[in-house]
Amino acid sequence: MYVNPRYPMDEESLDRLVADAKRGNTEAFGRIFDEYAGPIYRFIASRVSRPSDAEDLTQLVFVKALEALPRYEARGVPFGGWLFRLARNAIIDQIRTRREHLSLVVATTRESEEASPEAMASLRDDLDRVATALAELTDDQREVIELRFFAGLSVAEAAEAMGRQEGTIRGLQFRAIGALRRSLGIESSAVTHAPARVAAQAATVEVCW
Amino acid sequence: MSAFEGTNPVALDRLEDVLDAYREARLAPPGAVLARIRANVLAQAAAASATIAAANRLRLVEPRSTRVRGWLPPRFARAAFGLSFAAALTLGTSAAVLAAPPGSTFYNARVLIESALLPTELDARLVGHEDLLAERLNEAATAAANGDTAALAAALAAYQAEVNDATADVGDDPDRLAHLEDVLAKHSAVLAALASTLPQESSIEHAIEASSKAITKLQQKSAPVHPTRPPQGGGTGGGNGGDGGQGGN
Repeated sequence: MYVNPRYPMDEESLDRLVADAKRGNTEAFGRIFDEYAGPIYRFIASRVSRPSDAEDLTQLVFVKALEALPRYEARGVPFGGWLFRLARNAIIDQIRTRREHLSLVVATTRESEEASPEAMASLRDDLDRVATALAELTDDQREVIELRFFAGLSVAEAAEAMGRQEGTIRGLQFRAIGALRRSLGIESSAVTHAPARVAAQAATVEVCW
Repeated sequence: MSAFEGTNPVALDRLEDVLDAYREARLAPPGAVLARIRANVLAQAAAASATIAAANRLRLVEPRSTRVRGWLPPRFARAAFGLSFAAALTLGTSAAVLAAPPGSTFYNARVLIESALLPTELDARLVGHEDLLAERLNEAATAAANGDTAALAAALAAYQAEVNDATADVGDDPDRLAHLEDVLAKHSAVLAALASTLPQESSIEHAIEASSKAITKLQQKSAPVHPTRPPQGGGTGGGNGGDGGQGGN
């Protein structure tokens, strides 16, 4: 049985929860929320510029899911993909309404007790480099990275969310990875490089929007 | 397993680390934000659920057939009526439900919603159970003070149901078991005091009995890991023979 590495819940348990939620079981819907709220928020946050928008849209997605759940049919449609399609549509609607560009978040970082100002500045630079590399991808490539990596969807779920074939998703992902590696200078033989600091330093700082 | 298959694994690991750090640093939701969204979404879910339940109850009392078929409104008119009725129910019902006192029509729905809104994380859930138990107890005391036997019975029935839920959720952790046991023991004392002020109230006796049973169950659960907490009603032979001197009365 396939178990998504980002979601500990297996498909059977999820199907049962969805069936219970469709019958009006609020607790079951609460558990679905707990399972998907983080990934949905991260996906939305990667596509809107303000944290308040990410919060509002995340709430909107789950309210829409609540309304649309009675019409959801599990046959062949991964629930995660269905939910992320709702999220994607909500983002598109918001962008249309506000004429907002798909800008990646420019975060402010808050120093922790351990991090020096120099380390914080360096980390901020590195994170900005990642943001720039992501911004240089095509819209489709970036969306695949957001869905697959930031939200943790499977290829099938990402395909459902984007309304594409799984093979297309794999191709977009392959090209996105190549482009990111080139932009960030990540090669197989490289050992010390700025992006590596991102991973190491991010563990020592508390970061907010 | 990497989310990215089919390329150089070392470079992919590096890229994953970098994206992972970026995700955690810039995209991770603050806990308070998720809690706020959860509360709002589940309140809507509970209101929708109450509406469905109310609609089902209405369907049950609706006459199954009518002789004057010609008087039936057209299908679209019935659908429109249904939709507006559901919308009115959603707004009206949710407000009425959330303020329903014990003994009122929506009290059971309110109790159901409050239970459904409890968090899933165990410690927070147990705190929620404790709050609800205290609330049910207060409602019972208020009803008793007002001489409202119907409200008293409703509050005590909800209290018993909450005792059962809390006992089912508490798990096997000895500290949690001991804490819940203490809470229920205090509540039993309150209920006993309440019972003594009333002429004869069997629903209080039932609630006290439910509390006592729950306490016994908790003691039995914690017994294997708490040898210093012997089960009530005597020993099983063997063991701490030195304590036997207490039974001298």
